Amino acid sequence: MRYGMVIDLKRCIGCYGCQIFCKSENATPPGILWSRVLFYESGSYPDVKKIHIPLLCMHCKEPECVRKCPTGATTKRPDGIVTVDQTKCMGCKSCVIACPYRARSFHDKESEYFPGQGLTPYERVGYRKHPTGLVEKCDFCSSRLQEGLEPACVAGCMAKARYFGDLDDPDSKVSKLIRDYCGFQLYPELGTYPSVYYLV
Amino acid sequence: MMVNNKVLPEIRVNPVIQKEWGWPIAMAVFFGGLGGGLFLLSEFVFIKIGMVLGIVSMCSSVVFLLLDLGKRARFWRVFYKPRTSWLSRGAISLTGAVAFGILYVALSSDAGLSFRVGPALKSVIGSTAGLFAFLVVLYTGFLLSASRFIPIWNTLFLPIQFAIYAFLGGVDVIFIIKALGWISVDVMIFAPIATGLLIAALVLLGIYLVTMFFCRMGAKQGAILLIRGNLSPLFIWGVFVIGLIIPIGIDLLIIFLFPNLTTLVPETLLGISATLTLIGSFLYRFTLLKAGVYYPPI
Repeated sequence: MRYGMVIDLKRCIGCYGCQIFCKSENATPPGILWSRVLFYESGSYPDVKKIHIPLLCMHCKEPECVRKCPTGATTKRPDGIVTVDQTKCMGCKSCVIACPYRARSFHDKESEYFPGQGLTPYERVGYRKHPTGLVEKCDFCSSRLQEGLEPACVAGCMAKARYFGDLDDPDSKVSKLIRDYCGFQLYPELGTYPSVYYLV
Repeated sequence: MMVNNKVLPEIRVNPVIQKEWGWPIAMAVFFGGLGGGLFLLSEFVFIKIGMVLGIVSMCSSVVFLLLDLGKRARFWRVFYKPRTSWLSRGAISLTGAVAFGILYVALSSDAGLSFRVGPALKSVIGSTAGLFAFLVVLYTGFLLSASRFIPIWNTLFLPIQFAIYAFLGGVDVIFIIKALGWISVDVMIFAPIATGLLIAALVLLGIYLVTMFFCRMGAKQGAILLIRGNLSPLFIWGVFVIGLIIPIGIDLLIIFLFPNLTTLVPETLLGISATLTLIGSFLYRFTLLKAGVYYPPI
């Protein structure tokens, strides 16, 4: 069993919906994005291209962050999800430095979405999951997976550009998509074997 | 499986600089290397105050490492994974060097515990302290060079340069305490060593920068940041001019003008040169940390 995701870049319209759904599901504090969309423009008139690259933790098969974590807080679960144990992390940021996909964030200090107005009830409840002084990252919405749901970014993608499933199962939707449409990993030369694939 | 890389060349555009490790880590690396180098050299020629200052410097390194932690109360967890983490190895080395170093100094003191242990055990403790101090010297460079995705750090040049700077720092502190009159030992034998280390640091730094400049993306951008970017005043004036060129000039002047090395003048001059080198040594670590550009740039 190895959870993975496929993102179809041709379908992605760069609406940042995944970013918002992730924020609303996980109540991540300001400045911390577990799921983000990078936007690039290349070429010059009249041959200009606009590319959106949705990024999240790649849940690599050979995660560098797990190797670099000195405390054992970052581990790889049997289902392939790379997680951070909040009770073990000491906030040394070694894993943040080690991640080539910049998928990890250090939650330095508590801040509010509406400065000077205090935390909203939503933030008060949500921030219990985000203690300060720790490193945090996407966990493929583990709590939703336990309930049999897809990660929030997949369920909420209005362009249906994201697919989620078991990469080890050759008959799963994600495996078929990767096989049939030549799915590729971002920067495969880094040797981390990401579990997130892209289609173009 | 076929790999389609059509979009990849187009997203390699913007350099991303690491911001997670700042001055506390630069201080930790600086004091760690300095402490390890100073302890080893002082143990070699038996300068007790040098050993004590080496231990104090390594303790300062621990303090700065702690300062950088998000949850300081959990610092003990750093010892969990020495098999794969250089931070873990460094913490173990620092702890070992400080613990055995204190024991060795205590055993070596006149009013201390010297009568309770034999010379053999004392020398074992001293050697263990020295070994841990050497590991501290090594770890400071490897901590950065083990970062695979920051190409300007990910090179063997770094541990070698850091080790040179560590021993240079050790010699410098010995010169400073001599200039302050805290020790009566003749330290002038270290003058040619210091000059040699300074020249080695200068040559290696030059080769390192040229190599990085012609390396893959990330390393080149880091080198550009150091030479032409925001960090260039600190790097060129601080590291090169103040930290290397001027001290080399002073050291050569002393060696050629004061061949007997018996007057007070060379000691004071060596103290000044040592202080400048230490400033350059810290700036070298700081600017290098700040020039950590990622590959890939996302």
